[in-house]
Amino acid sequence: MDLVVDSRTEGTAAVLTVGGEIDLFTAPKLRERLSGTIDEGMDRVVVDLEGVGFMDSTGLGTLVGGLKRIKERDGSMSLVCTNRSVLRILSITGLDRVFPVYSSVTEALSADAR
Amino acid sequence: MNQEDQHDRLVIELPAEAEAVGSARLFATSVARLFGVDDEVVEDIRLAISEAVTERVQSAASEDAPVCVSTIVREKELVFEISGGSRTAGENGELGIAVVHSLFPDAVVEQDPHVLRFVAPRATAGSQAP
Repeated sequence: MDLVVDSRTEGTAAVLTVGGEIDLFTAPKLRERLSGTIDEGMDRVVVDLEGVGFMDSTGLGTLVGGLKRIKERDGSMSLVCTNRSVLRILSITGLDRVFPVYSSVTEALSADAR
Repeated sequence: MNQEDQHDRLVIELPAEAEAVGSARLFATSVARLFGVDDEVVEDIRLAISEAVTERVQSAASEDAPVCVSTIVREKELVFEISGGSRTAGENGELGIAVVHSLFPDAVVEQDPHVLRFVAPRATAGSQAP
């Protein structure tokens, strides 16, 4: 099982596109890429989880770690997700109220730019 | 262990390392589908197993203590037990165990040795007794 993380820049925002399953084994890769993006100075990050078929609380912990760092410099981080099982863990843990969640990258970018 | 458990128990034993979490999910969802669990409940089992096995893997002091997932097959339900790792609760596993409890409110955690147990219903359609 592997996790694929691609990154690109859209205007002033970084978009991380994630594919695969996020758990104890794969979360370090996401953490590394997320940290790298933040270290590059990007303070608007969109994490596209549309290609993620599964995520547990270890994956959430990674996202929360990124959010904490980016908030320290008044940045923002949003998620793109329509997958029911990923939305479920966000809802169970109450993190759907912490992260703005959008149904497409376009929607996330336009909301972020407001 | 009673006679039913001896005859209807499926078990997988995995090394206490991060890669085991995905294997445990695959095992549990395959068993659940094989025994006719509804898709939505299969998703809940997948998440609960991932959380419980993660907690066990993180509790283990070395990779020598395997993590065990077993399923007891009953007529109307499947009982999942996650054990192994260290004998007691691991640190930093509270959120994962809380997730299991929100998915399966009757989940039970026994200590020393640490065993997490939850029960999932088998499919409702066609399973009603006449």
